[in-house]
Amino acid sequence: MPTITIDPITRIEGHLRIDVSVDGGRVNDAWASCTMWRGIENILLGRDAREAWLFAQRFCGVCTTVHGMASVRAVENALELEIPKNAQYIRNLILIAHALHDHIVHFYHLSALDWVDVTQVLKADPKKAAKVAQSLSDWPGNSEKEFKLVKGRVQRLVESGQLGIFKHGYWDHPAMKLDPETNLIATTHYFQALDAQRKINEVVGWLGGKTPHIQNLAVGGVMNAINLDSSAAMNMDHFYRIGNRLDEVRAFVEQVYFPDVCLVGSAYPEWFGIGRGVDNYLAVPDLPTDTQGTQFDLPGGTLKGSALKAMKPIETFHDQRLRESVTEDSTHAWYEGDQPLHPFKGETKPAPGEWDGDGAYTWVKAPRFADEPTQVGPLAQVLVGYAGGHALTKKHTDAAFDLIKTISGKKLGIDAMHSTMGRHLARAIRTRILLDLGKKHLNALTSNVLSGDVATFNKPDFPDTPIEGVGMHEAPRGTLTHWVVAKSGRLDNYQAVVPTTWNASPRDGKGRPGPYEASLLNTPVADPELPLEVIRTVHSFDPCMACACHAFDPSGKTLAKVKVL
Amino acid sequence: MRPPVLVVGIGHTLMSDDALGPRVVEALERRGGLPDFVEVRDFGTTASELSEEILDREAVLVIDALAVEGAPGEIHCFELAANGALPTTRMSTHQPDVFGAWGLAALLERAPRRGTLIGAITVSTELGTEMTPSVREAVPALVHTVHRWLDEVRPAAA
Repeated sequence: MPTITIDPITRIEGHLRIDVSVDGGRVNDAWASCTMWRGIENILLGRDAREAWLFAQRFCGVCTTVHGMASVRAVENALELEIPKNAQYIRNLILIAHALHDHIVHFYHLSALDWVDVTQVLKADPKKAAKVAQSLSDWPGNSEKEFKLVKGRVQRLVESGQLGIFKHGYWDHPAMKLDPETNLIATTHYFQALDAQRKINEVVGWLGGKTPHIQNLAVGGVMNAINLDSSAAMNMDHFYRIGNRLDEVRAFVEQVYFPDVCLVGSAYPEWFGIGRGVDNYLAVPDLPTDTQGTQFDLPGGTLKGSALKAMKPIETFHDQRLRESVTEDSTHAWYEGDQPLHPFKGETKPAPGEWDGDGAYTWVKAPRFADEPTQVGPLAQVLVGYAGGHALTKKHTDAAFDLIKTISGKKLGIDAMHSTMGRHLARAIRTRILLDLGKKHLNALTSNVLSGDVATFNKPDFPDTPIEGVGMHEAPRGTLTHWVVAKSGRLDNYQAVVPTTWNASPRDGKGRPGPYEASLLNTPVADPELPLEVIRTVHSFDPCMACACHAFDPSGKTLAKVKVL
Repeated sequence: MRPPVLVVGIGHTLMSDDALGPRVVEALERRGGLPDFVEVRDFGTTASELSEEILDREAVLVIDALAVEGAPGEIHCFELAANGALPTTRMSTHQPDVFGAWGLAALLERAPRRGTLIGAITVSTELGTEMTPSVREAVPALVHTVHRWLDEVRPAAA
């Protein structure tokens, strides 16, 4: 039986409850439970397939863009519709900008405080901090003056007796190990990240019409008009501005975010050996470079265990293995039915109950790939890329290992990536890959337009016969698929299998735990009253329950309750 | 340059009355006549973007579904403390986002000079694309209130 209940896990989207049992200072069993019902897909039934994306992108308040994208791709896949090259590039640039924003937000604002003790900043020497930070990069915000300023701010906050935004931290916890200067560096960058976030997010708005909730998508392409001679349409000025923004954010990522993850990772080497869990991985290909969705700049594939040589690629948007291998099991979830169902046949019929660790305990279904629990996310994508010899993945992974060796003297191998800290490092590696590809896709768009091609849309034509399609997207949190069944342009069934469903999956009919649950086994817990270590591992997945399990607490109970038993 | 005044609607458009913020933003855009110094945005339920976007603005108005005591559809208005001190009672249905963003901006000494939260009391936040009648009927009055608020902040901003 569980000995610690954390409800809710904070600094995530939505409601997640984690129960663990602890014996001898280590976790020996874990349960991941989403406490909100998911049934949002039902709202789409009977609607026009062309407008499904407008509703789908409201599934979640954080990753709005990704659901819109997966939705149009699902309908296009069902119609076997080709997309003009310009539309692919514009979509890709939006996806890249969105993911850059998401990864930076995750490290600083959603997870850094698991590792950084803000109150220790008071003991830091700004001069020493500047020396350390300047040894890692030329970032202009690493000056002694800047560190002094931030230390003063934190000091005033602590002296005021109200920690404000930092009041829920695990301060002075025995698992906090950064020296005062590293705490000051990370806290300073936590604040500076806000400006980088805003800058990259503006790119999403420029291309998508607005953000959040982009307006430019359409089944068949995008609604952006391109005309190099018109200031009202997309022109060279836009391309130039986007290029500038990518350069500005590249500076932040290369000089701040990436070194910070390596710095924190170097200070917590044991966390490269904690939190492995399910080591089956899935990533789908993304950033298509052709009209049919058969060539990509981000590779997809599956891995079983740590045997990188046995990686099986997923090469196109039409991959039959992906289409046939996904099922969802609701044995331990509060839904009717106990047989695994393919998403085309998926059902969302709630059967609420009380938390029961041996029975049903969550609103998340248990997705399985080829019948196996499977982990998704930046780590899956980096491992698949590394296994397949993807040059950019190799380059930036090696750069991370080299920097960690410079800081700590320890050389990591790829096996260290199967861990809590590995998930953070993979996200930082992916961010650098995406920055390189952002520049590439912007150049490809510019060249294509200059060659005279300004097409952005192919009109969809719906048959009267039933059609089925899967839309895939390698979202910031991992593989996202939308599954659509339509007839005469109207939706008959709609299922979204989202990244957090894969990772926050409960046990399946065979009793096998999902990735969060498995990753928590053997996690050390120094203080059962303050289970910081459990939260570190859960946060490393970047949970976003808002789309994994939707809508509301059916019992009407207040969920904002922290209960540590 | 970004406009010095920001008006944001917050809410989930697939959860009935929770859509209030975005629906008021739509109504403001439909009515038109918004001054140049204001940027009006539908933020959905995004927290992180609010933290970035309020920094260095002169004034920010947040429109949200409210969970305070009172009759359904009743309009309430709150001034946010500029020093970042967070109210202890739960008001907005998205409170941690709005107040967390404000607290962070205040800590950085980049909080807007004025911050206001307005909204109407909700009846239902169950799954659905329609608001309940009493909340829907509050939209025109909220649009009017937003324009009045813009008049108040105009001298400093324009």
